[in-house]
Amino acid sequence: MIKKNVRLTGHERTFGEDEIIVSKTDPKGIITYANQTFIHVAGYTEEELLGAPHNIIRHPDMPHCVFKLLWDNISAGNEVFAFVVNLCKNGDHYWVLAHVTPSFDAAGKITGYHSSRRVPDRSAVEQIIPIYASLKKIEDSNPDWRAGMHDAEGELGRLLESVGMSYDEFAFSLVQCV
Amino acid sequence: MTLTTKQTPSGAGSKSLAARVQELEARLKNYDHWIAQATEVCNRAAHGDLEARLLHVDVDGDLGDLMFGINGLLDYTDAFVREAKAVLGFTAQGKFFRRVILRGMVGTFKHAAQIINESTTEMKHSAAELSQAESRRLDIADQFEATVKEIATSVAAAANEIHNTSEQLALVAQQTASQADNASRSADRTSAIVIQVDESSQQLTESIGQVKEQVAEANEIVQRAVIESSEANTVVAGLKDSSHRIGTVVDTITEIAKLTKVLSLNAAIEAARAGEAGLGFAAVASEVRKLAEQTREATNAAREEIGSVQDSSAKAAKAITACGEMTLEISETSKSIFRLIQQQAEATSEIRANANEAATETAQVTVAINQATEAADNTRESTERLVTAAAELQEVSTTLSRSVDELLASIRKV
Ligand SMILES: Cc1cc2nc3c(=O)[nH]c(=O)nc-3n(C[C@H](O)[C@H](O)[C@H](O)COP(=O)(O)O)c2cc1C
Repeated sequence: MIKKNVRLTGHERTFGEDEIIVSKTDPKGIITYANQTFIHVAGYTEEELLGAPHNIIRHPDMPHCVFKLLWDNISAGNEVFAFVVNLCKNGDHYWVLAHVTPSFDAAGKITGYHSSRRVPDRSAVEQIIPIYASLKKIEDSNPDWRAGMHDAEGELGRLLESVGMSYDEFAFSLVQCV
Repeated sequence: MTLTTKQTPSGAGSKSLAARVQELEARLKNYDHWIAQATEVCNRAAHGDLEARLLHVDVDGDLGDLMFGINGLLDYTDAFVREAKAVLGFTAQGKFFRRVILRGMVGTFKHAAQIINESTTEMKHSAAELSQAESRRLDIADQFEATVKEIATSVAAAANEIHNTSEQLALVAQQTASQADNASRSADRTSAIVIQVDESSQQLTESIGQVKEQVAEANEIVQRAVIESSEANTVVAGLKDSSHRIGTVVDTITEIAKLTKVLSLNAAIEAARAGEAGLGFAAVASEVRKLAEQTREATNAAREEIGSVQDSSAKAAKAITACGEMTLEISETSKSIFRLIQQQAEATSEIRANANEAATETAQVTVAINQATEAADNTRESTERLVTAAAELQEVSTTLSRSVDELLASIRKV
């Protein structure tokens, strides 16, 4: 996947509580639609976004295992809630609570994916940041990124087990903080 | 992005009409294109395809706003439908944590989302109540089972115990009955003996009375004998005196006879000297001498008789004295016999009193024994009934636990 060298500004962007950032992808995660809010917040043009892989807005702080979880779920036909920090074109970042769901054709086949993102509560973000940091640390400590991701995945599993929730429930419990 | 130039009224006059027409035609074409695009997207949406969007919109103004408006409408509708679908999907699986996220939702969407969320909360409560009711039902079933099983077990145990106890009781009752029977027989024998004792002691009392009379009689006789023996003593003493005096008389007679003989001899001598004249006298003298001789002989015999009389009377006196002593002894003995008999009589009447008391007590014992026998019989009967009841109880408790098992099975199956 293409990765441009974007210098992180450390500046956080945000968007309105009534707004949703919407994107659609094909089954491979290539962006097929980006709404005006997305375009505006991410700072990319529609042309730049359409046809680009969704990792175009990937932030380096995001642990791999969260995206693995995302893909595992959506490719199985399930919805996913995930807190994601994204990278703007100029190096700013913004937190979203992403709701990612598959789109089906009449035969029930997955034709692509859809994501609506809300602006998350600060308190939820504050809870998520250290968790992601620890997962990221586990991943970075392993020179083999796959193995590292696997370790982090295990850690995430233990974490969820300790609070007695599925990932959905966990994410949603944070949403409830809203 | 867009190539559209800003259309300003001031710029209109600086262009040629042809250029302006061309420009307007191009714009119109673009407008037509977007209207066609919008129509297409709306039609698809109207047919339930919420995927299509208007991309690369390069018109400004109202038409551009319309395009973005359509996209926005579709985005919210799409988002709402996905949310609602997800929530209902989770709800259908009994997961109630999922709610439509109100953030980002507006107007009717938000309102509908709120209603969905309220319903979900409602359903969550109902489901919780349902599962609570369910687990309560199972709890109740468990409790019920535990309680009934415990009861059934203890009933069975109790029945078993009752059974054992009643068997022991029956044995005890049987033993009691046979012991009571034995006791009753001994009581019967005892009372027979008591009656005999009473009779015998009555007879004894009677005999003692007779003996007493006889002893009294004997005493009287003895008293009389004592008097008579002392009288006899006096008589014997008198006899001794008389015989002594007779001896003296005999001695005197003997002396007289001796003298008479001497005198007769002298007379004979004298007669002989007198010759014939003396002849008659000599005959008398000889006659006298003969008489003297006979007197001596008679007195000798008398002396002998007197001696034997004296001997006999001495013996008699001795015998009488001994007899008197014996009589006194007899009298003493009979007195002590009397005392003994008196004691005997007292003892006998005591025995009778005791025997009577024993008879009364034996009668009471017999009554008690009869009661005990009756009680033992009753016990045996009750015990038999108890054994039957215990067996029934056991059966009932078995049936009970079977019914409970069936009941619980059906409760838990629901
Ligand atoms: C519908 C949809 C939305 C996505 N949204 C994001 C997003 O907002 N930010 C992001 O980093 N990745 C997003 N992803 C995941 C990316 O496709 C990609 O897996 C992720 O950025 C990790 O990139 P990497 O595999 O190059 O590390 C989305 C994927 C899909 C299918």
